[in-house]
Amino acid sequence: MNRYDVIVIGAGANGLAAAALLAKRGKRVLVLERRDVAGGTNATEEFHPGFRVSAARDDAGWVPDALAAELHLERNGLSWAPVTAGLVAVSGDAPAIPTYPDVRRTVEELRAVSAPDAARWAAFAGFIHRAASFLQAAYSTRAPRVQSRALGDLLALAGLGRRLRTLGKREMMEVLRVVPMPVADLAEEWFSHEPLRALLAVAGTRDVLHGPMSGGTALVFLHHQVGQAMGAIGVRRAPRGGTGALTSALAIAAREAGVEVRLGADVSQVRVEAAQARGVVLATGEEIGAAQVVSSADPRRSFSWVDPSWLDPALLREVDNVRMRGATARVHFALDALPRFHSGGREIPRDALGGTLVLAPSIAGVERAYDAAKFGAVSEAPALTITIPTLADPSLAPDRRHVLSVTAQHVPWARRGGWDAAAADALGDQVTRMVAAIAPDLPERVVQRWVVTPADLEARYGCAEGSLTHGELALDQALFMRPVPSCSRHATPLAGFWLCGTGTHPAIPGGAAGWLAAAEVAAAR
Amino acid sequence: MTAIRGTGGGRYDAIVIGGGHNGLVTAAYLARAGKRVVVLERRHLVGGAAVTEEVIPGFRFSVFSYVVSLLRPEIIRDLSLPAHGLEILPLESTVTPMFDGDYLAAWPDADQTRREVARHSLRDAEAYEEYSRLMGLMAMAVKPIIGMIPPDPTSLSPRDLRGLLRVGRHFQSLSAKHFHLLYKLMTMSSADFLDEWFETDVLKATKSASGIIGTFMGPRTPGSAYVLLHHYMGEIDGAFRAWGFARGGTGAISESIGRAARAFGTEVRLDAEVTKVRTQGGKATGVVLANGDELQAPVVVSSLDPKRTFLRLVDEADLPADFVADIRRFRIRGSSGKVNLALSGLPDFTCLPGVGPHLRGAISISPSLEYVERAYDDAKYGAFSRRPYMDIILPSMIDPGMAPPGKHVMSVFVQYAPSTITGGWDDSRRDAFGNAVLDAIAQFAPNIRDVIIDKQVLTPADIERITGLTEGNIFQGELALHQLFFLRPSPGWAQYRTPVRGLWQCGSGTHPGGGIMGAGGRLAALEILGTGA
Repeated sequence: MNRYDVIVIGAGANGLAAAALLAKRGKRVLVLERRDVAGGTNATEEFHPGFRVSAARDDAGWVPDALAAELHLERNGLSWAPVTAGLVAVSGDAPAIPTYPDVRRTVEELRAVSAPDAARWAAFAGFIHRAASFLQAAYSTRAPRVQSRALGDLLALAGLGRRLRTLGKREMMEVLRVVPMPVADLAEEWFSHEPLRALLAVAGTRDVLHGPMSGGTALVFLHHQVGQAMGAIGVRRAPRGGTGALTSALAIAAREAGVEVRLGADVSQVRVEAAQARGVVLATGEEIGAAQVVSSADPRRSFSWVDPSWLDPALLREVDNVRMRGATARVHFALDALPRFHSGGREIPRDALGGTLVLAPSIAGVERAYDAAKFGAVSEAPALTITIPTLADPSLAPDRRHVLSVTAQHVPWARRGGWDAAAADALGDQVTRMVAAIAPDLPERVVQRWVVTPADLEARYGCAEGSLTHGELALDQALFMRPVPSCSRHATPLAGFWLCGTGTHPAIPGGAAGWLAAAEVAAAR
Repeated sequence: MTAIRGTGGGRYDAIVIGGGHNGLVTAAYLARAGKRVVVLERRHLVGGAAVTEEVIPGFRFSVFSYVVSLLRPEIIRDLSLPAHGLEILPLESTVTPMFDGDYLAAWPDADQTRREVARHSLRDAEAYEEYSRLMGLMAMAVKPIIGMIPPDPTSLSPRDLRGLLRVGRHFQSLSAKHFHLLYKLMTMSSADFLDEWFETDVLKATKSASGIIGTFMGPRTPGSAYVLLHHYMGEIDGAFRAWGFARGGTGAISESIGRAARAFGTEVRLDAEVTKVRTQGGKATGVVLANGDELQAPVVVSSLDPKRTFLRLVDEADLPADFVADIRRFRIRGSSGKVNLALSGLPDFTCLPGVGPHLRGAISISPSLEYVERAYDDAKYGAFSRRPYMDIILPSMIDPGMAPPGKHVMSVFVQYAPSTITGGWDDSRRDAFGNAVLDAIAQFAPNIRDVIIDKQVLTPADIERITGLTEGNIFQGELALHQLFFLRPSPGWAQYRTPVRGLWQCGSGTHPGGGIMGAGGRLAALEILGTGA
């Protein structure tokens, strides 16, 4: 007799969400977390006394309403910091172009740089919102099965089709056309002002090793818009207390529902008996039995725990072929005071500063950074997105002190020569120099700097190849293809073994995969 | 201004604008059904981008398009093209010279190819067979889609719903494994797709080249795997089972279709440039020629690319603004150039010295994936590739009639040469481009400059000037996922109709796209005749 019905591996947002939901459905659940802190890539960590930062990501992602409601996340401590702006184009030589959640305000800002672009913004925001809402519908349900003849699957597909039809003929076609497009084309079709186009290009190449001229990056752009309010293009979803506050709330909900969470418990093997997962073995040799094992780790790591003799070699080859290719690095600064920020000689207004500053002059510039990365080098000018989380959430640093976090895009995990301390330092220096172009006194304000390379993301959080999404988001790795077709509904060909991480549908941070996986596990007999 | 009537004194039933292979196919099918058809060709010869011309005295070149494999077998049958002079000579091998002096070859004999691949990697030799088998299956799997008129997914008309159901049923008829493989081919980059199969870099580079031809994408650009599949379709289809070379050059293909069309009663007028499509009350009524002549017909079919057709020949006021915007944003960037060489002798490749069977096939300058990808990187920012990808053939080795005895012609397809080169194409940039091509060939065949008698260098601007193809794009619009099937050339106008009643489109800018396929021409004719599927 097992003490547990379900073992969930990994205490990130997806693992905790799945655990909590399963416990609420009466399962006895144990969560095993390798690290000594919960949160996975959401964890908010202290990197200098009194300074805390969401080390891996600056956006908590999309928390489905149904998930937040069922787990009472607000009652359990989740609240959102008031982020004042969306993406803000900045550069050393031109004034900032802020975008705001309020469409009219953005239009006013755009008028100063391009009247035609200003005139198109509202229509663009509307289209993006409706297209992302369609994606959201697809992300709120199990991965569609296009080939299936089962009635339920056909009805689900028909439901998505109906949803698409509500957009009207022209826009329905437009959504179908845009999804596989390069984000560069999307940006160029709508806008003429290059820094504005570059802004969208950066958003469309987030965490992927593709440039904005690559097909499918429009999907990446729309993907990150799922759950955003109309007009809010790239507005950061920042829980008070950092992204870790989301996982804390999930952990509280889980414990309340009876889940046991063990930290420092490193799984080394999934135990299989008679072609059925029966529990796990820890690195310490301890064995824990359970009827179901649900892994929130990436698919490659998850299957590495299973004795290959239980698995079809074709499956293993498919899993091995999942493109991970992490391409994101983070550099965090603890500051003793807020530096002055200028763009093109003009001070960046305070509420724009609270958004996400994007340092990328042109689409070609972003593409060139990708060119370097695809051959294993860090570009001389990777696209940077800069946030100052302490502006909306002072709790992250001591009084009047600040944290500044930079995401550098197209910094390849597969760096020629590999990653070591010297390479990380060089990246840190490069990022510091680049940010100093808009904040010249930044270097004097820094009391601590922490560089998180793609290799660090792998070592610290277990993400294969530093891929924060546990597999690149691309057309061929989305929906029923994610992570591989036979596992797209969270079940794997090994009975009793499930996947619930970002590597599975719907690939978006915030717990949606755990939410969908829990429904599948709960329905299993 | 004189209104010209048909030869029989009556009006024409249909006017086809452009005498390229698609225009001729449409005309032939319409005439076969008893319609009185006239084809209007701007140049002095038919063929469009599939022409043979004696550019250099004594040397005959397939000036632009130079190989064939995609030509639909039903067209060859329906129009009895062999009886009209079509003869395809097989082009059976592909040799890729490598930087280290070695090479990779694919020979007509499967066992020989296997041994050759095994020389580079035993694992790849094993995968090769399975890969070839599956790609054949995949090409078969898309064939019904290629052969059908794209249904409109937003329409609830019985016909479109039937079409959608057919597509749905077709995909359901595939095994899950094959469906997922097809889906991958539709969405991945060719390099990523090939990475899943092979480890030998030069093999992947050479295979991936099929995924970039005619396209402004690199091997690592998602979407290029579909172009690879598109080029694979000919390898299994009909009688040829391989890439081939028409005796007499690609112009001979156009001429055979032209002869078939004439045999069915089509009138073909050369030096007849159409400058305007006449409309009345939103309906096409005929065309105006450059010399002021007017021709009338209730059906006008344009085989020109969508931009040329709708932005130049049709009055913008006759088109919905949405549609004009769609056509304006239709991506049609030219990416390739062509260099035609008249040679006093044969090139001597370091990897396979002397005269050998390799000179009777294709020679692919694609020594590594990085080489091809970097060639693309140059073009992305508006320069021609310093070290381009090239597909080289020596037609005179297969068809001695192409060159004077003992002499040779060499056809060099070059990528990338962007149509929108920084500063614009001019004589000095064309020279520089030609030199880059020769330098790149000389890396592998050092004697190349010694055997050149004369050369013709064609940039995308030249291709546009001569053939009329916008931006010199050989596919009349990129084969990108968002420009295929029911989206080609414009969402809602993929069934060969246009917003102008009586005006139809039949070129490569329509489904299923480019290459000497003729499929668009045939489907358009069936649709016009009301006998389409």
